[in-house]
Parts: sequence; C-alpha cells; structure tokens
Amino acid sequence: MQIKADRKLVDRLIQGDTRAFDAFFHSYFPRLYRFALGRVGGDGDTAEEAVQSALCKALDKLGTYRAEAPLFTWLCTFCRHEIYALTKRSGREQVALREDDPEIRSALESLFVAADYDPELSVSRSEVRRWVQTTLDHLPSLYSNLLEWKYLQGLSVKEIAARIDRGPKATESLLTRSRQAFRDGFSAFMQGGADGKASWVRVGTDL
Amino acid sequence: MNQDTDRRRDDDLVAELMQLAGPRAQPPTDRTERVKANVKAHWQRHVIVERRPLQNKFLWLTGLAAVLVITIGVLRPWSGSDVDVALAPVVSVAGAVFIHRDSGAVMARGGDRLRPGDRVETGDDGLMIFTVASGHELRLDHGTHLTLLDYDRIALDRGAVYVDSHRFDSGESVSVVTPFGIARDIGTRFEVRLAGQTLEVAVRDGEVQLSDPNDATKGRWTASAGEGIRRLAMTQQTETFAVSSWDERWGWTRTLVQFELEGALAIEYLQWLSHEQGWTLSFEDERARSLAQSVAHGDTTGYSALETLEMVLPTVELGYRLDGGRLMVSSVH
Repeated sequence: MQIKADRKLVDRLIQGDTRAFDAFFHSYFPRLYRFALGRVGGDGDTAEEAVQSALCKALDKLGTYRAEAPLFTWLCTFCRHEIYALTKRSGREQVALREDDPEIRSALESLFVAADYDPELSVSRSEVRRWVQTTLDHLPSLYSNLLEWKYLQGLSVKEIAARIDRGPKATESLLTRSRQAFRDGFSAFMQGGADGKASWVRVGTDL
Repeated sequence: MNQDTDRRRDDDLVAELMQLAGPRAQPPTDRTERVKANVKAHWQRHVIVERRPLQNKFLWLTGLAAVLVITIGVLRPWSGSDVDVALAPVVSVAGAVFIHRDSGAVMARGGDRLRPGDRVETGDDGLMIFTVASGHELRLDHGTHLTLLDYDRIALDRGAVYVDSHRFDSGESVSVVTPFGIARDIGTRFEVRLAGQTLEVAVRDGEVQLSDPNDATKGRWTASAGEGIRRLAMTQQTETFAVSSWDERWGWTRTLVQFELEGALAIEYLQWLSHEQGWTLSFEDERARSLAQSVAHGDTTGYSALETLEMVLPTVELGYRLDGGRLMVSSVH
C-alpha cells in the first residue's frame, strides 16, 4: 500500500508535478534530517549538507526506484553514503547507532510483526526516546502524524477525522493500523538475545 | 473480551512510549527553506528541464514523420531546434503579450517556448511569467519590452522584470541588461525597472550587482536584501533607497501566480504565501506547526493574501498575526 503510494509519488515527480515535489519534500526532509543529525553527532550544518546532497542525488536517480522498498528506506541509502563521504572528508567519526545494525535495519525496513512482550527487558529512557522517534520516522507520514495527534496532542478520533478529511470509522481503522505498524517497528529495536525474539519494552518510572 | 484487553494494552503501551519520547524535533525553518529551495531548483533543472528536450525532440520527429507521410509542404512556423526552445518555457500569460521573431509576431500563450533573439512585449494589461534553464523565474510587468539575449541574459528596453532565483546557489545567475546598467543576481529575488531615463534595481532577498554597461570598471554597485539602487541617466547619479521584502512595490509580481489550495497541506500554502509576500513564517508552538500539516480546502483565486489567511487558517484551527514582515501562526485554542 505504502510502496504503491511511493511509486505514484515518484512517477509524479518524474512528470514534473510541483505539488508532488512539495509533498515529497515535506514528508521526507524532516525525517532524513533527523536520520542524519543523529549520525553526525548533532552537527546541523553537516546534517543539512548530507540531506541536501542525498535528496539531489536521489532525484537524479528517480528512474531507478523500483518500489521494492519504501521510498524512505531508499532515500536513507543515499543519505548514508553522503554521511559517510562527509565524515570521511572531515576526518570525523561517524556515530554508530543501534538501528544501523543490519538486522535491526532490515527489521525496521520491513516492519516485521513482533513477538511477545518481555517485561524484563529494560533500556535507558533516552534510548527509548530515540527508538520511538526513529520508528515514527520509518512509518508512513500519515501513520506517524495520527499517532502524534492522538497520543501527544490528545486529539479525539473525531478531531483527527476532521483533520485528515475522513470519516470517524475510517480514522479509527487507520489508527489501529498505525498502532500495529508502530508496535512492529518498535519491536525491531527490542530484538536480541539468543532466540532473536522481538519483544515490547517496559517503559515508565523504572527506567 | 481478550481482544478488547489486548487492544487496550496496545493502546496504553503506545501512549506510554509516545509520551515518553515526546514530539519529534523539527529541522529549523531556515534550514528547511534553504534546502527546499536548492533541492527544488535541482529537481527543476535536472529532472524536468533535462527531460523536456527529449520529449520535444520526439514530438518534433513525430510531427516531421506525419508531414512526410501526408506530403503537405507546410513549414512549421518558428522552425528551429526544439531542444533549445524547450529551455525557456512560458509558464503563464494574462492580457496582451506578443513574441516577436523574424517570422513575425504572435500572441504569447502558456506553453510557448522562448529562444535567444525573441523579443517580448507586454501590453498595458499584459503580464507574463517564463522560466530559464537555470531554474530562475522571470515575471514581466505591464508595458514591458525585452529581448532574450541568451538563456541567462535578457535586455530590458522598458518596463519591469522580476527575477526569482528560488535561492539556488549554484553560481549561475541571470543578467538584466539595460542602457544604464547591467544587473546580475547572486541567488536572489529582485526587480529591474526602466522608466524613461531612470533605472531602478530593487532587491528582495540575496544580493544583486549592478555594473556600468559600457565599462564595468567605471562603475559597480552592490545592493543587498532590503535595498535598491536608482540610476539617473541624465545626471549619471546613483543613489540607494530602502525597500522591504513585503513592500507594496512587489504587489504586481503576485498577479499571475496562484496556489492550488484544494487538497494541499496548510503548511504548503503558508510557505508559498510567505515566499510570495516576502514574509518570514514562524509558528508559535509545536501544536501550531502540527496543525499546519492538516489538509486545506477551497479556492483562494481572486482574494488578497490577508483575505485568504482569514479564509483558510480557521478551517485548520489556526490563527495568525502579522508583525511587519513576520507571519506568526498560532493555534486558536
């Protein structure tokens, strides 16, 4: 579904549709910027340079996008190369993040269904914060927006429905799918251990 | 029952995680605008413009084949290289605008393509917008006469031209040649107006260099955002004046441009409007920024900028205040 929408967006970009460019930019720039920022030690100038360069190169190669992976994943590949080149040129170290682990990356990209909840697993609050935000960035924009509106801004389903111009029932269903996708994505971070099972993390005051 | 319990647990866990993490940090507005302008210009140049020559060449060949098959010996008016003419497309026209070529004059229409040597005249009610390969957009005011010398160089005989580089800092620029000075942009938006013996160059953002047309070493002036340069041919005097990015002077440049609101995000509309009005867009808080991601509806054609703000923002629970050139958007609750 998301990949189909991505394919359509790419086609419109190739055709020169300005509205598509605006949608593309506003959907992907903030996510790629956050993606880059974490990997260049919080240096905004380097992150900006990396993302701008990555977006330009990706636009040049739009014709090669085969819609086998979500567009965000495809764009992240360009961004990774740019970050690598920039950090190498400046002689700095690239920050290694847990989500760069190939297994987690793969799980995030495909958002595999998670396994059981493991109350014993605990991680630091800042790690969880970053993982939650990274998971949101990997979700379709609509899903992450819905989750932020509902859980951070406390909007009712009716209010969200009005905002996205859908009926309450369709909105509720979208919220369910958003939660599921979030849960699956977040679980990717929790994967580990000998059996490689995914699990939910317990968060709260005990962290 | 179990399903309900699972759903509630899921809901609680998501809520807990989301609240722990808080809202995602947004990139600073200046970075966003800068990168957008640069990436958009790149897209326009490399994805759109470079595709067009092939498409047009193909169309031209198809047309040629048809002509051969039906053996009608009609020459295409304005025959020439379609690869070249694809690079300065006319985006929009209103009123009487003529394009003069060796083969004669024709009324300009959206979709026409200009090429070096073309002379354009806008009538008293005429306005036109065209773009060149570098991504610069050129808007012509009423009563303007100019010649496209090359894709990055125009000669202005009278009237006014407004150049918007979309802040693409590739190093490419557009020069406007007049009898009293040559204006060249350095990634900016500016207007060159020639009225009788007076030349005015007003800079909306970025920087413009003005040089003497006969001897660049004799005179060279630079104007930055918020400044203008006036040259009086009779006295050879040069003076500067102040002009804000939201000054009424820029009003005519907005006449032909419009935003298709229906189905767009409110943020897209706000960014477009701020760019066209010369305003700096700010959000009072994260809630306002988030609300601006809502889908907007309606048609703003024919309304002033302030009228459209009054119409559009309440529909997405936003309000605004305008302080000089700063548009501050806030949530209404």
